Amino acid sequence: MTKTASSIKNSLVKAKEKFHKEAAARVEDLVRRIGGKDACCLDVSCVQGGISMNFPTYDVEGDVASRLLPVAMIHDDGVVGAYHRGETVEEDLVNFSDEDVILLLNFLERLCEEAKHGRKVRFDSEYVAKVY
Amino acid sequence: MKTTASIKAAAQAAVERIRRDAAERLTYLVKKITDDDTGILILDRLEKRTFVSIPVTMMGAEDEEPRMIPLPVKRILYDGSVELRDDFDGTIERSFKDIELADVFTILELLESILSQHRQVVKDRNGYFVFD
Repeated sequence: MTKTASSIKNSLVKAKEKFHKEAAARVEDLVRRIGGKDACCLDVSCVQGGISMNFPTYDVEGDVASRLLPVAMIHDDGVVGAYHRGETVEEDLVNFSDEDVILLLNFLERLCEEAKHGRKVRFDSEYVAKVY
Repeated sequence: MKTTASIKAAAQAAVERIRRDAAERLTYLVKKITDDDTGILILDRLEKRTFVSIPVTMMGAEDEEPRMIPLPVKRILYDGSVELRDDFDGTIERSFKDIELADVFTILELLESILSQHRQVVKDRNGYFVFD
């Protein structure tokens, strides 16, 4: 007997939840590894060759659109920030596509490797680690 | 702590499993509705059309990213392929595994509802199953 559509859909929802939970845990771990054990946020706005992610936005009719913005801040709880026309736009990891989540994780993995070999990380404020 | 590579691998494995379950369910549903091992289900006569989005590059815009265009489902084949009606009344065939997951569930849920409503299907002169 094959699984019904609703039970397959349930499996998908659970797989997505597991993916986002694991990704968020890895983001937290990498933020600490890069910025130090007290870091709660990484400021990556000065990193050469940074990444851009599709931030979900809503237009006036309420339709979902997206805008590709360069990532500037990565919080340990999985919130990603960008600057757009003088404003700070923030979005939780769960609202990004799977591809963008993997992109962010790979970016952090790279920064982590580079931090081990001399990339500069400095605390600009109490808990925000600025990566150069 | 899972690394990015293992998180990605686990997510890909989950999606593959879900797609395999969905393809098996599609085959089961088409066979069950048509009561035939080689059933081809025609959806053109349904009151409400079902759409599947596929990437299309607009004529004269080959250098641009393809846009996702929703096309109505024309026929569903027992082997898991889906035929879509294009703008010129032609047919575009897509394997179930190449369709966006959201659209996969739209098709499955449609077939589940057809099965639960005990909708009658009859063979047309070409040997295809259409809704009576």
